[in-house]
Amino acid sequence: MNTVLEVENLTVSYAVPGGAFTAVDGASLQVGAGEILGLVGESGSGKSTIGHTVMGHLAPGATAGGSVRANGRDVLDLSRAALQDLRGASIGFVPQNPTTALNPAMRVGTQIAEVLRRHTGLDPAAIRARCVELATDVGLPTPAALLARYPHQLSGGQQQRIAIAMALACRPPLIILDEPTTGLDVTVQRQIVELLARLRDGHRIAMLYITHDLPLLASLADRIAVMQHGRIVETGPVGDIVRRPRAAYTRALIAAVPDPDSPAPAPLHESPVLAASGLAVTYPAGFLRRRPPPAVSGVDLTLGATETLALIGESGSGKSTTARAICGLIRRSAGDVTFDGRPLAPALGRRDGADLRDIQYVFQNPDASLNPRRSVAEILARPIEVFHGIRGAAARDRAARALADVELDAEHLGRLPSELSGGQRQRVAIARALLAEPQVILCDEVLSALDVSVQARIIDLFLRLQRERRLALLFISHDLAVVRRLSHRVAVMKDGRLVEIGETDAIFTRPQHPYTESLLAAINRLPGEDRDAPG
Amino acid sequence: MSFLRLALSRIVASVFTLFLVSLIVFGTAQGLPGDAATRILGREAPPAAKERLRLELGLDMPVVTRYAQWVTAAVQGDLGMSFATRKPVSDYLGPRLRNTLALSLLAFLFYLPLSILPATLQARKPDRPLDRLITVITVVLLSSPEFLSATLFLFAFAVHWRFFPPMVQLHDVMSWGEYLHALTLPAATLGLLLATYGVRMLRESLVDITRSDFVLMAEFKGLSRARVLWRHVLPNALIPWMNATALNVAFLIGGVVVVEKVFAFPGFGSALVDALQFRDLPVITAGVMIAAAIFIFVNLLADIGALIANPRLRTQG
Amino acid sequence: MMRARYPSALKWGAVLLAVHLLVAVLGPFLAPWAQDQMMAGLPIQGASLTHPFGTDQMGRDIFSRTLAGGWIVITLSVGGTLVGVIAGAAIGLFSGTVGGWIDEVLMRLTEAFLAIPFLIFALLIVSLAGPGVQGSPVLLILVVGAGYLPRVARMARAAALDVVSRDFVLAARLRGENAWTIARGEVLPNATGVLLVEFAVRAGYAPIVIGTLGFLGFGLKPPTPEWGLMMSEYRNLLTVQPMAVFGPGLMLATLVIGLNLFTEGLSAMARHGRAERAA
Repeated sequence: MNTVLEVENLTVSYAVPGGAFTAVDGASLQVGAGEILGLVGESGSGKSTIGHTVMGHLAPGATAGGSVRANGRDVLDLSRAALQDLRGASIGFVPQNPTTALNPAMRVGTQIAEVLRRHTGLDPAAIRARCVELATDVGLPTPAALLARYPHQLSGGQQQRIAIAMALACRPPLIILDEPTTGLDVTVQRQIVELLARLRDGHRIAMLYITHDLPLLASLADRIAVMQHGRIVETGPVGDIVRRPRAAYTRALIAAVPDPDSPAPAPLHESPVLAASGLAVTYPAGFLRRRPPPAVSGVDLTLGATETLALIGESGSGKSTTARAICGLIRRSAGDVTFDGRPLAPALGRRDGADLRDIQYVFQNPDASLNPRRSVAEILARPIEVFHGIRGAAARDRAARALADVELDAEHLGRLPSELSGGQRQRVAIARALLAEPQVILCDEVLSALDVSVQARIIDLFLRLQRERRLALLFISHDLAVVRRLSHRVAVMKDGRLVEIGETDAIFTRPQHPYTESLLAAINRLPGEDRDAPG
Repeated sequence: MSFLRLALSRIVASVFTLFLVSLIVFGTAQGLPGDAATRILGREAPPAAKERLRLELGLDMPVVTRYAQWVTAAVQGDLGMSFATRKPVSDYLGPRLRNTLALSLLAFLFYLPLSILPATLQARKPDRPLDRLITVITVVLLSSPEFLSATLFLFAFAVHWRFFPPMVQLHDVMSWGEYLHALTLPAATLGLLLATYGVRMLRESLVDITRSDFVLMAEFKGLSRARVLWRHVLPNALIPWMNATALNVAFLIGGVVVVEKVFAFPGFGSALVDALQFRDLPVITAGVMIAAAIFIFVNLLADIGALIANPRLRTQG
Repeated sequence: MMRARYPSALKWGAVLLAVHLLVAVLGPFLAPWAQDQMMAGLPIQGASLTHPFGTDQMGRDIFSRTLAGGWIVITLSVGGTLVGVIAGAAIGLFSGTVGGWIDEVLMRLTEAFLAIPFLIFALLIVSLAGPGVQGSPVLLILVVGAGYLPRVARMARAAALDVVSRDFVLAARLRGENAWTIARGEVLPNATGVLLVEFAVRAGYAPIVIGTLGFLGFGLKPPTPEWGLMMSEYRNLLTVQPMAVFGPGLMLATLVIGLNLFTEGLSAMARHGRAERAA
């Protein structure tokens, strides 16, 4: 098999004050014609740097050593002009976030056409025809109409299809994909992955697929390279990597991936501590603007005293809005919310201290939910003072104990959030919620900003906390494997409505609603000894 | 539909702002605590003169009535009589405003290339020697008060080298050539002073855009540098710059006052300064309202321009 | 912790500022003549070793007058800027944090004030304040402060809005904290960087405002050795004695250049700091 990309002993380092930071450390990999090589690693492993270096792009202040041979030429030695001839024509690139990677002020058709104008001698009519052909190829309905639109008029999935069409325009032998489905909904993700598999088989296009998502790679890639701290620790065919990993890091990575097929915790049948009925949220009409459709309507759900209820659905389905309406952050426009039998006011300002204390909220991204200018001690002191009226040394003791609860040392008290890792920050955010001594915690995508190995430890933390205290969790997530591991019951939301609610195993094995079925069909699984390998 | 609605709401907001400005100006001019006539004429003025002024200002009427009368007249084009010249304010300010408008338009023609070219050069290679040099030049120019740089230009190009007249005199019988020649030096000065702000803002927004994902993506498509700059970077950088330029009209009006004073230019700015010196109240209120109205109008144009230029706003909903 | 690297703009700005502060404090003592001494030399003499900027119509030494002007310009600029930034920041932060109709009303008013060009606004206030208080330093400080207030308020509000939408403020609201506690405890610590830069930017423009008012005859009154006023007093000497005009002008320009370079460096550092925290 001839190779279209050969990276040999690549090293990329950045000058930082007081030394150099090596992002990529002697990495080697090959991609054969018509092959998909998956490059998997956690954040900061240097996988995206490899992708950019293959495109001949180094961040300011970075230097590269080794060689990157694409199409028979070393991109590290190319002149700017030769590089411009190579990019787009011989190597396509699909970016992580199409929303920011498409020019907002240019029609998407023009953005595809300019690649063809640059690299081919086609006349305008031929270019137009080719654009329509490409749009059809990547599965866009009514291509002619879509091509005349601006990026913001397309959905995320459509934008990513446009970006793929852009990469395919000149039929390059190689495409680099940098986390192309991160941030997309699972069903859209599934469609994009199927599209890529079809393109490989139909056009024999080789791909370097960069991602943190090992199960996704297992269903798409031919071979996988595993990256950690700038090094490639292991490369091999998918089956070998997943079933017989050699490197310790690969084994840990696989162990951390939750299994969507193992049974969920047994249902509890408790009396509810929290109940919402007929819950609706409508945003007000603006000046000269019609009233928008309700964000959430007619949501009925209950939460047992030590139960975990998962709220799943795609972006914009109203999961977060529901949780925020329950805790009062958003005013509900209709419906009732009761806690322990007593009704909760729609507005935050009308709830008393006990209401506020009993329901706590943990946000998706700890970078945003912790004040960057306050130390961990100051952050944890707030709920202690507000809810329990304790200050000073006693408060510090309590804060230290709360840190121990989330498996952090008391020495972290003096740190700023920026001096903690992502996982540690989320633990601090959880400790802040625990300090209120709540009965319910609303968890809004609390794992999605974290690497998979960190996710696994936070899941264990939640399971332990729930065992040790009487704690009800409303767990918003888009990751169904995590949901099955954690939750007793699942509620499925679509377009602001609850379409299905039931016991986890029942939902996973016998979904009633077609939308739930499509969500379940989009799950990526690791092939194992006891399971059938797909494809 | 959505575009019209957005544009309409901008227009309504602008009119409301102008209304608030009229309250502020009227309030400051006539509603300040204490006796307006004494404030205008000074404590030592003869009581008879003060009394005459009080009657002229209509101070015997309630404030609300006075405000209503003033606004009604102003909307109909009657800006009152100047104390100093005993002529209608519009007759006095009208020709001055025309001169200043000509000066500003010419200055704007200098402003465009003087701000776009250096900023584009800077953004091509940020943090390199050329970028630093232009930054230093703009900081120095920006830091020099308008009256200093204007005086310096006057000294260099009208006193030392006699390219231009040191005093701008405009008559009705001037030919277009003479008119332009008389206007060039003050207009160039004004354009350059304004461009120092323009360069900085355009550079910032160009550099910002240059670092965005879609520009990297354009480079990954193998597009030429020129195409990336002209088709991907500039269109996206010009929208915020246009709005910043409109906000700069406030500086332009301030700059006009100083430049007109230095070159003894018979324009709106120097007329306003004279009126302020003599406390010629009808001219002052009219002048300040006109300045604010110009500012609001230009910003309204920029807002609507941004609506037209930005597909995200234009094609909403 | 990495070793801090200061931008060169910050260093050069600091040097220029230090020289100016030194001159402002020591200038009057180092000056070869008393600033108001008439006939220190023959009237209207060009620049020479004894009179570096020459002499004016009354034979005063212009160099000595220029040295004496520094502390006046600096005190008025800093005073006016402080008034404007403190009042503007308080209003802007509160407005942005509390939101709702209070915010709406305050910002509409701010916009209306912003529609009147700063210089025109300043001239208007000075002119209408009446002859009695014209030329008083307190009036100048208030004028500069009043002119800056709406501008700073808008910046501070934008900074507050940026913070208020972040999740840690939502967390504070979920604890039932009120707008005032949130503005002080959560918003202010995150806005100090912006406000510091804002202060520096405004302080850099204040000498120009004061100078311009002086130049147009609306600032301090003669015989105060304020630089803008001096430039207008000596304007008719421009052809025979240009240093009389450009000497004070140069002092004013270098002071502002120093302030602006310093600000440039400061905001570059603030940007860098933000990037570092984000990483």
